[in-house]
Amino acid sequence: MKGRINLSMKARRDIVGYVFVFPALLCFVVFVLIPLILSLVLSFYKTDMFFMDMELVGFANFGRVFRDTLFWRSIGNILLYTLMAVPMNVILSLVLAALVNSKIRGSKAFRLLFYLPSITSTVAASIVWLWLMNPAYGLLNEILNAFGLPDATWLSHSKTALVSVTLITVWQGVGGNMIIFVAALQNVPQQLYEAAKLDGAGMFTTFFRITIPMLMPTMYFILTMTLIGAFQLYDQVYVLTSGGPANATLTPVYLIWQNSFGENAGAQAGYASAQSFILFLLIMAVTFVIRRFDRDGKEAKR
Amino acid sequence: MKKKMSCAVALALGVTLVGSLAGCGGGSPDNYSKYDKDGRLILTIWATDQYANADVRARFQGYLDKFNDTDEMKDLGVTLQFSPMSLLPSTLNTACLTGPQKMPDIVIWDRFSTPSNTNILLPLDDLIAEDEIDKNEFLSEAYDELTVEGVQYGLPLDADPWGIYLNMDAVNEYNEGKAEGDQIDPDNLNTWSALLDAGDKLTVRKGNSITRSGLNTTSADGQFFSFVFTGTGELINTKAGSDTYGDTVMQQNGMLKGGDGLSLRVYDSLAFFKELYRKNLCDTGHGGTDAFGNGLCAMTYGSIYFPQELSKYSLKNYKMLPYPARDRTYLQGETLPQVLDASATDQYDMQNGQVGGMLGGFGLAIPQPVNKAMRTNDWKKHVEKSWEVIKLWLMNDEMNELYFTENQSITCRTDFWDTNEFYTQNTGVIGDILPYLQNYKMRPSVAGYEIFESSVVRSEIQAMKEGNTVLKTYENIRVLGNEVLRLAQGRG
Amino acid sequence: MKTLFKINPKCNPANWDRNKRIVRLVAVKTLLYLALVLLAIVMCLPFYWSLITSFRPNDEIYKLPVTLFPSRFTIEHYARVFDEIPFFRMLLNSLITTGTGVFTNLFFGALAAYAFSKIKFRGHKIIFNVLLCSMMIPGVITLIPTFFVLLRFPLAGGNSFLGQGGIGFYDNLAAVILPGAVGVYGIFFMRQFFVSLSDDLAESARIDGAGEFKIFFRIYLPLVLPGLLTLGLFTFQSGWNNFMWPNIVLQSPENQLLTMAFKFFHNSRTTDFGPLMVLSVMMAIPVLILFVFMQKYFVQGVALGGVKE
Repeated sequence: MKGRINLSMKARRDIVGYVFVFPALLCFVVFVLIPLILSLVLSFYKTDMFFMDMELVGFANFGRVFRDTLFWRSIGNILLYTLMAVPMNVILSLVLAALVNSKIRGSKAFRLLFYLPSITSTVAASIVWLWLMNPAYGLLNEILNAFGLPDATWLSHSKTALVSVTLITVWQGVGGNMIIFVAALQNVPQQLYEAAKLDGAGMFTTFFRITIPMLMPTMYFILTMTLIGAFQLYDQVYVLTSGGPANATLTPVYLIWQNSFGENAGAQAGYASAQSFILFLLIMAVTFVIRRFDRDGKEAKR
Repeated sequence: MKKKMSCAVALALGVTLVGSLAGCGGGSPDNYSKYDKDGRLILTIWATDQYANADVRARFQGYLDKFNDTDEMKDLGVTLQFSPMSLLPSTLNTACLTGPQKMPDIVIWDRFSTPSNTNILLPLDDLIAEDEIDKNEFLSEAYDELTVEGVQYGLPLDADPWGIYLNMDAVNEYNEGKAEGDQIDPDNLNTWSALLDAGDKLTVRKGNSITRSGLNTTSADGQFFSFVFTGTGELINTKAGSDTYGDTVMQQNGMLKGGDGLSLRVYDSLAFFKELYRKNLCDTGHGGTDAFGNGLCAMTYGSIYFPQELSKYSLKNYKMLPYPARDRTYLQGETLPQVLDASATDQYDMQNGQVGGMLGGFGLAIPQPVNKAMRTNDWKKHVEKSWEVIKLWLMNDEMNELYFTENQSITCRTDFWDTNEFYTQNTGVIGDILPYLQNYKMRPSVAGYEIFESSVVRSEIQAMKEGNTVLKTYENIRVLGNEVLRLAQGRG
Repeated sequence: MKTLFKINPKCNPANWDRNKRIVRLVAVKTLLYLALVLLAIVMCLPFYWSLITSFRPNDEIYKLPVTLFPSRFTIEHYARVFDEIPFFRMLLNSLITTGTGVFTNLFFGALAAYAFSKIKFRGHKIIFNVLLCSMMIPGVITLIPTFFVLLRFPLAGGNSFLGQGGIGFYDNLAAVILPGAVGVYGIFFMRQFFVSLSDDLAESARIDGAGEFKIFFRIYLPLVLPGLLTLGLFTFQSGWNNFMWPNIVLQSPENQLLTMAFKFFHNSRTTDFGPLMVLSVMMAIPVLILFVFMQKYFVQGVALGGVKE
């Protein structure tokens, strides 16, 4: 008797659970899963974006990806970019969060100011940065000169362009991550800090021994999301450099866009699909490496 | 609080529902025609986002209002409405996929995009033949840019030549008090050497820095096609039927083959660019419109519509020149290809360049639904009217004159250039460039050209500017260029 | 030690050590403020520039060298924006699409997150992990097929049950709302908040006979309010700045969004900085208001929310 009631209660809970996730699942199936499958199908065809005149070519599109020098150049660029932008973004947003979370006067105002770049639209912000980074009369070079430093080439030289783009995307991206870090910081039990104070721990010791370990889960979350975002760099490149100079800022998504929606794209939609699946695999691989670290870290703690 | 929350959620659901239902009134592809208050059929025109710009839009709208108001249009029983669109031709592609009711009737079509978009454009050959429209009335380069494999997909609307803009204030300032032989003569600035010379003379230096750039070399990489052309070279083989159709014409190491000398000329154009960069005529920051408009750069590149952009700046006294012609070879010393016998260059006429450059511009085309089942009778009625409008717009002399005078454009109807006073009396940039227009050329339109130009040619030239040798640049463009083009054309 | 400090706050020579610490504290605070102010300047400069350019007269915008402050203020660019584009129509459309997106994301996202963390129905782990993996899919993969799904959406825009015959959700605001209606990011984000809350609340409510939806809506949802607001801000901001997708699925003048207004002032032929910066400022204002409004909830969030695994 008792067992039967439990069973039916469990069944009821299952049903309620399914009902609760149904809208989310429906949206996922219709707008992620089905398009993903369609895209996979597309990648085996030579076709335009109409799914018309489709010609089955098997793995030819994927084979072509591996012979495509430009694509691998763009992958190299995006790896370099990720290596620069992600740590910079995560560390800076953590530092900002710690700063605005400390009990000082005006911390709310600073929080708002640091979040400002995130709410400025990419197009407008990029146009302003173009002006700031102009080698001849841009403000940044005037500041460098004021400190006795020579002009920097910023976006106009292949050696500095990617770094400049990195600075701009980090500038625009730290605000959002800072907010998440602030939320997490406020969740660290105050007793821990008080205990540390009693033990005579300094500011830095407290930060590295208490704050950072307590923030580890948030850190992994932010790291993963920032990483996935970084691999899809497009908007800033589109406005700032169009992939140049000398292909130094060419990114995979920029190439894929050119192949799907470029003026003379033609029947390249299938190939663009294949390119994006390779990018997908790459993102997956890197994310799993990160998760592996996450798990190892947890096991080590135990 | 809780009540408010429930209300908010209910509201959100309501909005979503209403939003979805609003989509249900799409109706069938038939009976989608709309009429204005006088009962005239409304035809829609799409244009690229260049037409979104306030001045251009106001000017074009002003023209349309006058055009709509003519007796001819009233007799046709139609009226035109236009909207500028972003991301053309992608947006047109998606519209043609959905069917006639969301499609424009006429599109102001970027001619360069024609080859890869033929399934959304209506072939006009039957209509052209029926109405005995003579292709010779149009600038042939512009007309041919709308032809793909013998099929005509539109009629050319305007000619948009690119050229070099020269700050005349800077020229006059330099010339002041100089002997005639030392002066810059804008009328004879028609060779590569003269361009370099003028650029040098117009550059103002202060110590190691440049306070006024003589010639914009920062964005020169985008002009390479024009310089290949004025050096009588070619970048891509567009001879139909040849084995290497769609490849670059470049031979390994710039060697001559088959006696055409084309690869040698491309090589020579690169050598000229190297010389351009070596002369250091431009500060890296002086590549933009603002630098030219503010007098910080004395020569830059722009289309025939560049003055619209310049109107916001203080500079008013400028002149437009066609790209100058090659007058000598720049293959010498370090830039001479090692495998090439120096005497071989003598066999080829390297002084035979001609002024001209790259020709852009729009055509008028009629889009068609991709799905044949959607080409309904209603749509066909719209097509009939659209064709009548296009004929009126382009072939009726009075109407065409209305178009080009209102929009300050160069019509592709070449007969007007010698007869209409808008052209014969023109003192602006149109007057400057018109005598050379027959020389202008379109860019080669093969699949993959866009990526070839941006990610191969321009990128490699940028790398050359940063130090690569001419030979390495040439080889990179050849190898990577052929790879990109072949992959894009499905031959790789 | 503690009591000793309290008894002799100032004049005890034994407290020199403490005075040194105060000096150090002041120095650290000064440095902190200096760092904050410097960072704030760097972060704000482009925004300041947008704001100042939106009020700068045209003859100064295009003049070199540029100055940090305009010689006079003008509202001509604001007048142009209101005059030349259907600003309020675009604003309304943007508010409808973004607002709806925020509500559906918060409501359905929280609902699913609650189910994943508190109901633990059969298969919740697998389903959640699949959703989690889908976050790695680059958006560019599904671009073209998503368009097809919207175009062939059954019973929408004159479509038959099989999705034929009509135009689906093409050129309909729903085409912007639906694909992002319930984001996986939101589910994941909200789940972190629910996980940090005790299960006991739900258990005792269940014993009292409360329905599952009531438990979710009345007990748990108010507790994750800070999380909801943060997610709301993020969702609003990304929807508000959505640029490429609306350009592909919307076309009629009456269906344009604010982000689509940029093309009127920035395109392949010209860039009109004045009106462009006006747009940029006007678009920042709603997000700014939202942010200021939520600031106080961050403080409340101390005891409640947080991101935990």
